Amino acid sequence: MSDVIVIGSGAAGVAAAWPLVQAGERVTMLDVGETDAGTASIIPAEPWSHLRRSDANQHRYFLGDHFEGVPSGKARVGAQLTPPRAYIAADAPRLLPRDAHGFVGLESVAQGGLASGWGAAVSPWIAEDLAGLPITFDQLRPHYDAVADLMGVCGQAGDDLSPHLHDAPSMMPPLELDSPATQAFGAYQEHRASLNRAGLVLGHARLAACSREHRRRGPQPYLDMDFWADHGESVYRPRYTLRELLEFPNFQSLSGRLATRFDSHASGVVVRATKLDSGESEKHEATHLVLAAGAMGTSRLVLRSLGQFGVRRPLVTNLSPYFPMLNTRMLGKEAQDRRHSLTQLTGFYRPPSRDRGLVQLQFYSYRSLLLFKLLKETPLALTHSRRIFQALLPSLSLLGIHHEDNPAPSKFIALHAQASDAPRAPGVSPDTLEIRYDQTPAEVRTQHQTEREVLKLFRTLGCYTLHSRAVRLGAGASIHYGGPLPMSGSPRELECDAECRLTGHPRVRLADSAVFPRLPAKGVTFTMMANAHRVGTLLAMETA
Amino acid sequence: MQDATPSPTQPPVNPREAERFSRYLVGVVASPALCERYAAGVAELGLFPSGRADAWALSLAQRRDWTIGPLDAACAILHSGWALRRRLILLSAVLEASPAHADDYIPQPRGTLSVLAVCVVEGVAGVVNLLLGLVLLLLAPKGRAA
Repeated sequence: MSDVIVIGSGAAGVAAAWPLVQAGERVTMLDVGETDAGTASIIPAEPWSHLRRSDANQHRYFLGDHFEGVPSGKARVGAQLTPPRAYIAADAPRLLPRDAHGFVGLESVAQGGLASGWGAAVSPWIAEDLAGLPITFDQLRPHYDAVADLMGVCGQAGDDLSPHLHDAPSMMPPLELDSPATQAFGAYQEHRASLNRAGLVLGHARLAACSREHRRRGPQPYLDMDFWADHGESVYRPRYTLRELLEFPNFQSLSGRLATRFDSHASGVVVRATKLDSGESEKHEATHLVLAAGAMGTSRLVLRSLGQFGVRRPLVTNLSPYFPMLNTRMLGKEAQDRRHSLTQLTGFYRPPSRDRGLVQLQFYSYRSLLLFKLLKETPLALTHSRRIFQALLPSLSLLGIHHEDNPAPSKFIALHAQASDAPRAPGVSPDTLEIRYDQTPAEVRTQHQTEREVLKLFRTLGCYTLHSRAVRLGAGASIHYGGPLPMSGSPRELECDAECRLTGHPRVRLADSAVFPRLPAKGVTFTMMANAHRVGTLLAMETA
Repeated sequence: MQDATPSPTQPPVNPREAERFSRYLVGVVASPALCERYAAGVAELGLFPSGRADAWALSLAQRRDWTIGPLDAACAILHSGWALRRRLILLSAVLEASPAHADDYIPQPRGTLSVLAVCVVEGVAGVVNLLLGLVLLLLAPKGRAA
């Protein structure tokens, strides 16, 4: 019997397991654990431009062996999941049935979870972001620092972003900016005072990426292949922590298992799982259980285990439209070939009106995802749009505007039991998760107003776009979810306390983003990991 | 890579189609290997017409090279789901992901005036193609039955 079972091998699972294993607890991690079938291994560790001109096999990873990299419908969520990363979300729709309306988010049952394709932007929540939660920034701070050391974080300490973030002592120097970002950042510095007065700050993105060697990883190789491969292991993936965990004799990982339910009692927990290769049911016992199967996966397990079918639980997700921009300072300039593909600059904009929240901005350059995806979205004959985009590509930037989200009656999930006469294949969840997400008109209005203000300020940087040209992939496209099992100072049923113990089940802790009742504009991954580390640390202290 | 065998209910891909379409997209005929890859993609993604007008546009583009640009332009605005437009996008992807045609897509050093000139010339040409394409679409048969 283990001391602790952790369900899920994603960012939250490994972050929660780490302090437990360090403290000597016997930890068993259960997951489905799909891995890349080998596509990534055929990608040579060479610069993007060199591969494009020389590798006869490039179509296998750029387009996929089944052309899965050629989108045939409208722009879709998960476009960042290129063919080598398609495995991350491939099996979830089959194993975890759902009925979603107004929500396009992904789930994952892969090893490392959705963070295996994470864009790596790190945005710690500070005191104002934690408002309403029963924990303080000071309680989270040591866990931010521990997780930052575990994953390797880089950025520019003491810049204009610092008041909005928390920079860990282990933070490495920032990654080099590419040519378009250098131009935009230069313009920002020229107009810094007026832009700051208007509420906009900009700086080097904080990234979960190593700019120098760290824990046998990195440094960033600047091949511009970060959306396709993990060369140099600069960009953090949970499997690196899993690899470190596996070096401890008191840690074991059991893959190929879909956890289906748990029972908790006074002295321990029992987890039931299905072995996917044989379909047989297994029973695992431990004194404590940590749920880290993702906000949706954990909610499924809790609702099913507690028999809470048909009960609506809140759902929040960051809405994140992207705006293609013409970066006029790059017109006629050659872009440097040496670059990384991740977000280059991060910004924050605080609207003048107090009833609108802070938004986070991510500034990218478009190159390595190939031109044909842009041509497809352009209302021009391809022969003309190809020549136009070929000429304009160095001047083409993308601005992501990430909004906060708060619960509302029109945003919820509910688990529904399967009709008894509808058989399902072995391993497939025996129920369906209903997901409904509708923004209120007031939310849409205020978000659009904020977006227009941001775009106007970016004109000062020489970056032009039209608000109507936004790429809106839909709710859930940010892959940031939360809300169903919120942390509360006075937790009720289907909530958890400040230490993330599930109400009525003190041996069950929640370690993923299901515990956040609202999402500030800042990405949730880093904070989710810090909180998972806190959950693991508190549990280790309790059991010591 | 899948082979290019279409399902029994779909017509095979015209072997000369990729040659015509690649000449339209990048000015030269693609290699047989790329043409084969394109045909495999058409079969894999099921890029077949779903209506009479859709089939008519594809057939016309397969027979008359000069109609490809105008029909592509009109489809880009009005019928982005038609087989012709989707097949052209697929071929563009196949060409882009090949060493032989990478430089048709990778940005080349240009001065500001040259960039602006490309945008103006291609934009005007695009509008002319669109107008021609809209006229052609007036000739398309109505109705969805194939």
